[in-house]
Amino acid sequence: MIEIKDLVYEYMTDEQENKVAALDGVSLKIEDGEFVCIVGHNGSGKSTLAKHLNGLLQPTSGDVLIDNMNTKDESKLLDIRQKIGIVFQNPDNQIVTTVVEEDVAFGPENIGIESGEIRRRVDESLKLVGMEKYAKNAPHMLSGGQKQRIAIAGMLAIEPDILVLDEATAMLDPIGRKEVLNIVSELNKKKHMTVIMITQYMEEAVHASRLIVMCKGKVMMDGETREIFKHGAQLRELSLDVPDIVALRDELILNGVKISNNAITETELAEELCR
Amino acid sequence: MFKDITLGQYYPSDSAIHKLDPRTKILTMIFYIVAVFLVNRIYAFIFPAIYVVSVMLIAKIPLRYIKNSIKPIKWIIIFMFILNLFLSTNVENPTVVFEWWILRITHESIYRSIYITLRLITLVAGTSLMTLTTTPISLTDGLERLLAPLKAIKFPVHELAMMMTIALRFIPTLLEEVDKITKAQLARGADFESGSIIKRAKSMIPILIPLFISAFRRADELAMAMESRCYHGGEGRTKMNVLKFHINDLYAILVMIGMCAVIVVIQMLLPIL
Ligand SMILES: Nc1ncnc2c1ncn2[C@@H]1O[C@H](COP(=O)(O)OP(=O)(O)O)[C@@H](O)[C@H]1O
Ligand SMILES: [Mg+2]
Repeated sequence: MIEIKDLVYEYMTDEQENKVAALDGVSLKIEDGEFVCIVGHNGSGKSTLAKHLNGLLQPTSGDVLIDNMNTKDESKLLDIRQKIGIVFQNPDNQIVTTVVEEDVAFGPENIGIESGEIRRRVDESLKLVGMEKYAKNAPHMLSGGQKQRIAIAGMLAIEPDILVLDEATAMLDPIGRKEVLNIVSELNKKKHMTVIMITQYMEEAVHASRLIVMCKGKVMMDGETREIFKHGAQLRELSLDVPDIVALRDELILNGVKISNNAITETELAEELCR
Repeated sequence: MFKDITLGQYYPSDSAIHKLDPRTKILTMIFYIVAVFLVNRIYAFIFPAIYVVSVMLIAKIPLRYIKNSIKPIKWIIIFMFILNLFLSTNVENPTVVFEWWILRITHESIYRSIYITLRLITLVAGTSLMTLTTTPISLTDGLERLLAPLKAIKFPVHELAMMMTIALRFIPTLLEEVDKITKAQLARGADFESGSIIKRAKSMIPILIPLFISAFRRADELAMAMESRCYHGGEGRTKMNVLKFHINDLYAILVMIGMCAVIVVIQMLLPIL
């Protein structure tokens, strides 16, 4: 479980006067097994929040607790990082070695797992992301989507309970984006892994059961995805758009079509319309 | 265009030589260098030569790769040959072959020139065997294990190996980036081809600065990603692929020691040439 209490973070800048609070009093609770999506436009503090989850950044004030371990407790950092894996935006800058399987093994090697067990975890993780055929390849020969899957496999090999993806799909083409999304959804459903997906694409939020909207370092909206999409006007005020299907749904309702404002996917909307 | 660049000159194959432990290959290379320096009669260069050719055959590497490995230093070899030809030898009564002004070629200096040339060629050809049959990454691995005892005197063995690994990993990425930046600057009308050397060197600045900025950003992100993956230095670290010595590794070392012994004994018994 993740508990964030009154988290404030200010980046150090040269001039003391105009310090910017990248996070301005964030409080959140995320339970085990949730699939949460965090949206917000550029500079709203999403990455800053993600970096607090495993202690890469330390709060200016407030606390971050992962399974009741405080990220301020340096002796617990390694335990926290085994519980929570973060995949970042640029796949190129997360791959450490020159062979795919050795890169996936990097995490388990760091925590001192014995070699046979590492082998098992590497094979399993590569299978989970569907990259077992590329085990011996050089990472720089792979496509962006494939590299990002390797980065996810590298995290899975540590066997964390929570997976955080910080705009991990932002640099991918539509196919790569879909691949990553499918893998993450599967992990949440089949392995009951807690997934926190940070994104700018509202379309991706449809996969999550809970949606958190951030703006200027604050949590503006937090609730069930379906419920939040009922507040299209409020989202637009935060210069965020609802997914096309939701916009279509709202437009239909506005024009007098008698459907409920529940549908958020194509199939759901089609079913509503055929009723 | 940079994607297929190969580092060092690894020649992939699954021969017995390729499968040797990287530590063995580093050790045999050191023995090989010793063996070449033990040679003090020209005829004895036949032993390193036979060794190189037979290793190439067992490793299934085409023999033309010997030529390729010598090519980059051919000017050094030619220079050393000519220089030694004219340098005086410290023999009492040298047999002069040719004399003009202060230049003098003697029997002894010809002998020495050939000797030096052969030594350079066998050294380079033999040491390139290691890079031909071992990937840079497993060489790094081998070096880390071999130097492990130096940790006792606080020598940063793990850190060095990690730096080498990351460098090897990022060379293709950065080369790709150079390619991208060059094209972007060309599209903006940059000219890298014409003008004096100084002007051309200056025109590299618009490539180097973006490259450095991006390299620093990458380094920063990589450090974060590594920390997120529980990296905390070499302490308590394990490896997925544990290096193991096999019987072939023993044979390889024995062959090398044998060659050194043969060179010493034969030259004692046959002090000709
Ligand atoms: N390293 C940094 N130094 C100073 N300010 C930063 C740094 N990183 C981010 N910021 C600032 O913090 C705010 C939040 O950034 P970030 O968390 O990266 O947002 P997001 O990931 O939502 O785009 C922005 O205003 C950004 O300018
Ligand atoms: Mg971000």
